[in-house]
Amino acid sequence: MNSHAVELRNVGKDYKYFRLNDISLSLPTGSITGFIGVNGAGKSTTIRILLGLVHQDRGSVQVLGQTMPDQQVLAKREIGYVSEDMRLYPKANLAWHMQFIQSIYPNWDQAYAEHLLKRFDLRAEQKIKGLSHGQRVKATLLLALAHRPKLLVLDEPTTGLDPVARQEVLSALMEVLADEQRTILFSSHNTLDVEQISDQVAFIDQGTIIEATSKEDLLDLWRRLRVRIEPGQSLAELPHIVQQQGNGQLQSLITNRYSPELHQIYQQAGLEIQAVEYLTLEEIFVASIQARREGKTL
Amino acid sequence: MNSMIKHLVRKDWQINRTMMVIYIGAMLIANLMLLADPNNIVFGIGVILIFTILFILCIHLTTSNVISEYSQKTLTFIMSLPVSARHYAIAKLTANLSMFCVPWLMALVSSWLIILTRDTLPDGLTALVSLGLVEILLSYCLIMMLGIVTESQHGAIAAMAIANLGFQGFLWGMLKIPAIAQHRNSNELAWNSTELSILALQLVVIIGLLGTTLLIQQRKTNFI
Repeated sequence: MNSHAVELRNVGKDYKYFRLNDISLSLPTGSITGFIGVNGAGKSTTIRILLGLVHQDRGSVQVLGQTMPDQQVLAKREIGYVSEDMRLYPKANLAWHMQFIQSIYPNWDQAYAEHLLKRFDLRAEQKIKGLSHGQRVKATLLLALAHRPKLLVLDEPTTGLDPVARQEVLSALMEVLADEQRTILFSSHNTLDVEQISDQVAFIDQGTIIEATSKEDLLDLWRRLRVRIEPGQSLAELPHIVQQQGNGQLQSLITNRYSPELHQIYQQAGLEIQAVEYLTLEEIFVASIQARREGKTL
Repeated sequence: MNSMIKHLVRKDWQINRTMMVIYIGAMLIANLMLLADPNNIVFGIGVILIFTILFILCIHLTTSNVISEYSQKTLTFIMSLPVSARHYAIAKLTANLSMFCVPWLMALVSSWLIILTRDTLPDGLTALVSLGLVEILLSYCLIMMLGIVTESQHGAIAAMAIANLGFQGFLWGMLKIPAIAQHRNSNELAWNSTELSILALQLVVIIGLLGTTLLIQQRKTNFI
């Protein structure tokens, strides 16, 4: 078994108004990766490339041991894909879709499909055109999950869902996380969703991966320090400061390399550290994007 | 045939079954009108109905089974399945052609039956009618090709306009060819070399259109 379900190496794609900048990204088998970026950052392009729906201009893509896009048919036998902009056939009902998918995937688990049907409060005989957006996403998720894929790719599945539907989708995902062999890539611009379910996190901005690491490391290394500084003291020379806010002597610093050693270095530089706080994933994401756009090296 | 292609063709038939029942039913009624009554008006309406059904089907099939996959975003769902661009293109061509060919074959067979069983209609007319129907098939292939390749309603409508003008020109041109005009009024069933050459050319163009569609689809690098 490969240690990585997905490996993108220096993958680039050029459009007229957008460029995917030779990104590299690896998803360890069994991991749940949150893929975070603002709208238009390149999340969907990356996902489409790894599914073979868009062919990269440069670089190599390996998905479940298959080279993409050439071996996409073999790879897609083991992939479940749900996308916010994916639509099922409006004139057909969910039962028809279930039968259609069942005829294609030998691994289709009918009992699990029926379990999900009840869990999502869906009716198989209802036509797709009569479903709400939330129901449509849940129907698509059901179809993707019930053939027991090794790789589940979710492109903004919770976008536009009401809070209840969103929680149902996230709970269903939590449930499938029990399978340690299944790899999940979950893209969103909603960091709260990603924070709930992911163990790996990748940030993408303007076609470039700016961070790809474990969520725990990220939450552990990024801290906000509330400090008091001497009048006229400059913080410019201090290492690993991503963001600085505040006026006068009371300042708020964000660092992405927090450690007891760094704490000591700041103290030795004359900072009076009053508090050290954890950041939410959203705060880390926003700070990384801002720092990168200001030209800082993280 | 690859099993995935079969699944996709069956899927297209199932999704469009209501539409196909209506078209096949309408074609059946048109054929019955030709068969049932020797009255010229009913016969004439039947002939017009057959051509109308085929022309509407040309654009309807292309919009409902090709363009709508792009506009309704069902293509993302289909392309997420274990299917390649080549599989998809072959399946789409097979499904659309087979759906079009059912009423088209009904029109072809019934026109032959009627011409050959009616004393008032010369047997030589079968060649002209057949060439006209093959021209409609060719028009359909053109509309379908542009629909698949351009992925837009505008492309299909432009193709429809070209095909419609082409068909009018084709009929006008056919009647200007002495060998065809003479054969049309004779009771000779066998096709002459002019008619066979035109048929061969039409078939080459049809194969060319289908081949070009496959080639272009296979070379595409963005599917959604």
